[in-house]
Amino acid sequence: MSIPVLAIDDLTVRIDPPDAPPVFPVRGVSLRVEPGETLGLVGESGCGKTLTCLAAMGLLGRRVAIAGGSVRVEGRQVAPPEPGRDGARTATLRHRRMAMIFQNPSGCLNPVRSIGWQVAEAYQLRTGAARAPARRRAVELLDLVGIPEPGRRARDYPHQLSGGQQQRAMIAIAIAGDPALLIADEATTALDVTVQAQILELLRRLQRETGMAILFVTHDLGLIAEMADRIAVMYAGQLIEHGPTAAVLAAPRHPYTAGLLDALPFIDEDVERLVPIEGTVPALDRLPHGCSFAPRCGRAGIDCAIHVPTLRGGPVQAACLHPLEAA
Amino acid sequence: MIAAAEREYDAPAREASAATVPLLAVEDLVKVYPAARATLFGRRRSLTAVAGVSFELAAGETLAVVGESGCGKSTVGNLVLNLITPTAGRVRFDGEDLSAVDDARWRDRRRDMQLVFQDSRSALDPRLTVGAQVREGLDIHGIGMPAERRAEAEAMLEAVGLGGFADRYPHALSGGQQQRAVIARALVVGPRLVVCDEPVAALDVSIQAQVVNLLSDLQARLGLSYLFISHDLSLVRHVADRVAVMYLGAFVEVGTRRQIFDDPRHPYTRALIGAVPVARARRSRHGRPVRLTGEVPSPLTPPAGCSVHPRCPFATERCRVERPAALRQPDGRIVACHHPETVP
Repeated sequence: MSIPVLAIDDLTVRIDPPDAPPVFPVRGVSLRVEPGETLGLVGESGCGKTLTCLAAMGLLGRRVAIAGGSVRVEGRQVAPPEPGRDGARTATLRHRRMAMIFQNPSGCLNPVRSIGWQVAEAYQLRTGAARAPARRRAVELLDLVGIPEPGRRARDYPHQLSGGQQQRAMIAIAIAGDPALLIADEATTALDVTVQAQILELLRRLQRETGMAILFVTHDLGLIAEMADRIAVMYAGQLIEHGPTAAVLAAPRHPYTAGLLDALPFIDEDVERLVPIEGTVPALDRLPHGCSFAPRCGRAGIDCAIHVPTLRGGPVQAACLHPLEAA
Repeated sequence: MIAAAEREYDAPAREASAATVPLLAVEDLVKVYPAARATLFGRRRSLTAVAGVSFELAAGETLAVVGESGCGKSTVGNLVLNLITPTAGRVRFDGEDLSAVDDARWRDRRRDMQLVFQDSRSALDPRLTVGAQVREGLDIHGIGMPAERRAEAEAMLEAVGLGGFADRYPHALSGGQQQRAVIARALVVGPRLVVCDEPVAALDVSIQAQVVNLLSDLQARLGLSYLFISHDLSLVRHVADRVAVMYLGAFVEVGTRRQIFDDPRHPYTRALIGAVPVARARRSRHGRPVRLTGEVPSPLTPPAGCSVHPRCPFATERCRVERPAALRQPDGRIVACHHPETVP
């Protein structure tokens, strides 16, 4: 087994609100991303999927901190910081080997710098190259992500590009200097479906050509089905199911994953009635005892209110005391 | 409240009128916005948001308008409700031409035509309780005795699954509950047509299904017609009777749900359906997917000829110069394409 590009072990993230007790939006999450693979991280809004990624990238904001667990990038620990290694070197390791793209490219691009300048900057930071070769490389990268006439468009500013082209430029910035891992957090959510299909195709092609791993974060199970080799499902801050994508989607073992699939309409067949998951996601400051999903779960027993289940079984693992039968 | 609406729906006059004329008939609706000049003394440009849209909607029917962002689908909904004034074209509701009537008549008519927005948080007034907001419609339209209105509003909230929430403020509700409150507020006045503009787009999947089921239950119970505006094709397949596919301000294909999803004819419809990522499929999808290149052009500079031609793999010389008319096909659907049969 090769060394995972990203290894998150038992990660817990803590938020300290100014005038309330701390809450823990991510609790005990362990993830591994192997070289060249795509891991799909899926969950509804507020489930902690973005915070998990931000913790791995070292981008947690004020009042948010890693409260437990560790993050390793290509075998080297980046969080908590190893004693003896200074913080700047840890940060360098992170930003050279990992990159992240977000839902909203227009908010991430610098409006007063040309696209080419921004791609060149990222390349310089990652590789230490000089300005002139970085500029040339920037044009090549823009070409690689499918921006037409890259030499001319490199001089364009973000507002001169459409949403799809802006996301392509973001991807060019992210892959400058060949990171080992690209984290795509709802990277296509704001795009129209026909443009989304183009961006997904681009990510697949770049993965084939560069061998980078992708951590693909989304709320859309359809995107996971198209993109991911493995799937990890989060609910209320915990990982509740994990396994090969096809196996999980064909026969989910956790009732929440099964419920999510049942709640989706089909594009190719009529369904008489959708089957919703009753109730709502619990608030972070009012998490139930035991399994967080138990209050909404049809299979829950008395034991579910006492024990917090951990991932069990294989190849599809579910954190459930009463999992559905394996296929 | 529900009982009142049911009574009204069963009224013989209404039944008779629904049988002869469609509830809503829209003819050649156009909306052109003036746009800023590109240069100081340049030509004043215009932006055609809706370029001649016609459709009919029967009582109890759901027509879905699908398309990508900026195609004008929300504008169609707003034009139908006269929330923005059309540049040209007519809206007939229940046989009455509403393009000619004055504001007072429109206020009256609003009781029959309501809107459910996408963004429930900004659609609700943060300073009023949910009960007060649902009651407001009854007050405005003078429905029922003032003393009974509170009870009516509470009955409506009960009907959307928010029993006991009347005294809460919107911020104390979850996203799904807020959307239920918006639906209650729209339906309390007993409308016959509801324009649903992306009603569940902001909700998580598990909650989305709850609200979709609620909308279809209320439709069955109250005989509502929905103009359902959405970008989510899987959802549209689930809720719609008929589907209109919109691109750059015009309908490119209109047909029944089965026609559109099982045998789409227009290349754009095929691309749109083919591009939807699916988590699970029962059968293989339509076998002739089309991949479009490029992105939607700006409505400020629409292409000549067919609006889809710069992205369409089947475009011919004719597509580049001549705009295809929306023609009725032998099977009853409407397609605006020069080569709907010949494309592979």
